[in-house]
Amino acid sequence: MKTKAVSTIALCWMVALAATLYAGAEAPAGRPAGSPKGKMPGKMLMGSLADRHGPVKFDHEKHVGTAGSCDECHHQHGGGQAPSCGGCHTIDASSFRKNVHLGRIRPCGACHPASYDAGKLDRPTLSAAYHRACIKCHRDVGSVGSDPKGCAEMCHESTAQAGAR
Amino acid sequence: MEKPVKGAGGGSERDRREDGRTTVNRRDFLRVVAVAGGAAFLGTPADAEALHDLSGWPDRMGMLTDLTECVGCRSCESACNAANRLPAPEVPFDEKSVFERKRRPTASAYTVVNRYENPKGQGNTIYRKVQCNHCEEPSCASACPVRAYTKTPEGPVLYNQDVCFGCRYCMVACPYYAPAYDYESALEPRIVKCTMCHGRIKAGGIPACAGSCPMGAITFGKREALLKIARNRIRKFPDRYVDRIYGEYEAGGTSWLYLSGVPFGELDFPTNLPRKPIVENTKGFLSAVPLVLTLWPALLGLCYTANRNKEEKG
Repeated sequence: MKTKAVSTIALCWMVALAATLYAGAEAPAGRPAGSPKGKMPGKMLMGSLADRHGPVKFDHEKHVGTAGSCDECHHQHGGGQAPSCGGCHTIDASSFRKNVHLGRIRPCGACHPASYDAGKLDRPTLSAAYHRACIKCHRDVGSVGSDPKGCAEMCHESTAQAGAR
Repeated sequence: MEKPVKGAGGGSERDRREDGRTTVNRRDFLRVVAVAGGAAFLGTPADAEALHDLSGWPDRMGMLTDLTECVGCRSCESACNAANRLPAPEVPFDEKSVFERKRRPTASAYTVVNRYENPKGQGNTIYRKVQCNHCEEPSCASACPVRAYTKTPEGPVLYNQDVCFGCRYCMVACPYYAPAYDYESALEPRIVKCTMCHGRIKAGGIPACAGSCPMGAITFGKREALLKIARNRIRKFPDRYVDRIYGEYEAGGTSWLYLSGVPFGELDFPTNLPRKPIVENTKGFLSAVPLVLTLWPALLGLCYTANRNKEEKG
């Protein structure tokens, strides 16, 4: 009887361990803790506003690994002052999947106006929102600002106009 | 004498240009001088018209520059250059070597961006955009002997080259060193400064620099609304900003407002400006000038004539 109980516990441990290992294998390396499971964008071309500069080739997958948490860029919770995902979603992974899903990540343009909007003066335009999101980190690691590296070298493909002025 | 100066077409005394600026011809100017003189004679302040009651212009526009957002990309300089059809710069706009020295606006650059080391010793480099601040009570306008400057109901302070004779008092009067003199055009004197893209504003657009800023560091809107936004940002992020909106009260207030993360004095903003308009300092003296010029010669002449008559009789 006692042996049976021990073996049951041992079996449970093994199952739990296997499940944990499996879960670890499933999550891509460097995925932020608490990030929603499912398909995330990989490399994207952000060019809806391309004008003087070409579209930005943005590697979302790479940034998922380095940003640390989704709300470093996606801040739709809390009107710009979002706490970390874990700040609100103190739930396990399965219920997280049920409650929060990728569909909730709304496109930036849903809130940030593409051009000047006199009624939303304190909301950065789409262009400003993009730039702030990127430069927030890239300013310190050597791009615009501290290091004299131009827009074209850092993110934007150089266009004919880009070099002119 | 009555031939209108250039810019005032069709013989009309007052004309409005396409860009909305008002041109003043000689007859108009003389009338102002006569009225001012007459007003002085009657004991009314001569510059009563110069001191606007701005409460009648609640919709005047302004610009809010958030220095904590600026990254020194110089897009605003580039956009300003294109919008005003200024000559191409000596070095391209993506060249950062210009930050090695502090610049001020010139005849070929209405706005410039300067770089400052962060006085906190750490954190981001600070960039400051410089241009005419479009004062609520502009001292350039009060210093100008020929009324070449106009504070428009939309907010911008505009300059009219047609009446300017190049005395450059405005350059001395401006506490922000904003007006620049076009030394290439000595025979047709010309002061050059930011117009806040008045023509664009009148056409329903926004100033070129504000439209071009990739960081959204320059916000264009009604001044009153911008003040609320600025106060709100300070309240929400007290660690990010110093508790001051530069331009709210300086020298009577300016259309251009600034938020900063470090004290404004560290960024070469003049911090010794009075809260009241600078024109208030000279109002008493200037209003006496026409009085002295008109009344005194008459009185002295009368005394002289009376004395001479007395001598002749004696």
